[in-house]
Amino acid sequence: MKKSVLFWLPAAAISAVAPAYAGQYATADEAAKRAFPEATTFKESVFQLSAEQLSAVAATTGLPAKPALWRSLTAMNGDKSLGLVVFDGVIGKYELIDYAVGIGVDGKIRNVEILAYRESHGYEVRLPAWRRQFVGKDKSDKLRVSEDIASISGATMSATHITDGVRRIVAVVDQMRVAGKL
Amino acid sequence: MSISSTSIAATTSAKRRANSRSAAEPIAAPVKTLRKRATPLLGTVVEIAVDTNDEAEFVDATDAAFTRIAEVHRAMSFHESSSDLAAIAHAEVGARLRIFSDTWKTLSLAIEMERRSNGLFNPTVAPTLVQRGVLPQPAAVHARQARKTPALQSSLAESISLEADNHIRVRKRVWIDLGGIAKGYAVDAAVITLQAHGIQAGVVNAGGDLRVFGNFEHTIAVRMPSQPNQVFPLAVLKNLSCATTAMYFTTADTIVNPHPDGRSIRPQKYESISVVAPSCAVADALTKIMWLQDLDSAACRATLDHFNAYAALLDSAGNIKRL
Repeated sequence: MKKSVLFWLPAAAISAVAPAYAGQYATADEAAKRAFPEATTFKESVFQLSAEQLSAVAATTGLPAKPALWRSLTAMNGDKSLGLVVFDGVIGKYELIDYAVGIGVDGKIRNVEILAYRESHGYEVRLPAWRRQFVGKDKSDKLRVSEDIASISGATMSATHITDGVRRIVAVVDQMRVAGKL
Repeated sequence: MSISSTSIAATTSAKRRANSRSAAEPIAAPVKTLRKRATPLLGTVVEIAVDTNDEAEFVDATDAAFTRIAEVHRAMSFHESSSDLAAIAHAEVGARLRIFSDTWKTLSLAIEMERRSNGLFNPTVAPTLVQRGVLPQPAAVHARQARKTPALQSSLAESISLEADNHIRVRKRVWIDLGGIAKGYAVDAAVITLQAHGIQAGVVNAGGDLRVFGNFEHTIAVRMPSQPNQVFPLAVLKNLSCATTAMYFTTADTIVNPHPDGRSIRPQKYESISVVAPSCAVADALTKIMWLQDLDSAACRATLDHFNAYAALLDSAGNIKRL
């Protein structure tokens, strides 16, 4: 029988300003390999849409144009292009989210991988008093409350802006394909 | 100062409550470095953290778990026209439908929750939510044969009956929104998938509905809904789930209570309610019930006890009260 453990942490007694809460999930290279495991090499490229292409993207997606310099990795298997991974960042409800979208040559999404997120404005972890007594004393207990607060229960990230961002990237890549730039 | 600790057996009804343990006593548990991955699913960002050093095993297991979550979402999304719930919303009274076993199991739990809470848990409030603009019209209803909205007040047990072999019988026209309970079920399903791929320990967190599994203890915190940049450490969990519900801000100036029980909407004085329970689907359903229940009542205590569950209430001053 598996053993379950629950113990409540005491209510916050003091507040301490902690470094901005952040989550690191994947590097650009890891995201690219997960989207295209069959790729042998990845070629870095940067592209930008023309004013006409930007309006076309805005028209198809119904989203404001983003005149960005898009950073991407083209997945290659030998000389053959398999597709590309485009990198972008959006502002969520309370956080900045970096993510990557893998799109095959068929225009289909391979995967959406969150790379990292960080709080968009100061973030305070209200730590209970007992937290202080552990600092520097016991590595495991220190980890428990600082680095180890990996999970927050309650409404956290909103995926709306990521979903919009993914939609925009699909349209951007489509424009590049139409223009023969991929 | 003492930390109260509780060990509960997830698979039996045995309960050992609130054994006191001194703060100085070390918390004996291996600290694991978990490999994390996240992707947008279920309208939120789903984060999976697992204990493995093998990138191939990590990617295979998490790919499978994300796929499983997407599958559960497709079956039980109120918004997707191809979902079981859309099929039920469309069905003629008397129709017998075959649905996914995931939906069948979740409906079965929903009926139990409705019964145990004397109707406080009510997944048939979708018409009310649509009327209030909290939910969009179901896709199925945009279609040509737009039908009259079902009665605002209904009960799941009166609206459908569960039959063998993943079938249900539609007794009344009904719009069902499984919302959080389906999200919790998806988290539970993802954990089973990870375990089937050889993952021994980890955490699945779907926007705050989370489950911790395996031989390690994991600290969780809750966010203050009215001051989202404040986070309060809540509990350390092992082989347990936690779900939190609150009056969340949907836009800068609108607060939407996500659980409008048609009979009585009695906003709690607390900012959020978290429930810890063996399964995430149960934890999520119980947060809804707690929100509408008299928290000091015997009924509330009995409901928590029945499911081996515990609740914690966060008020606007940052105080956490435990039930």
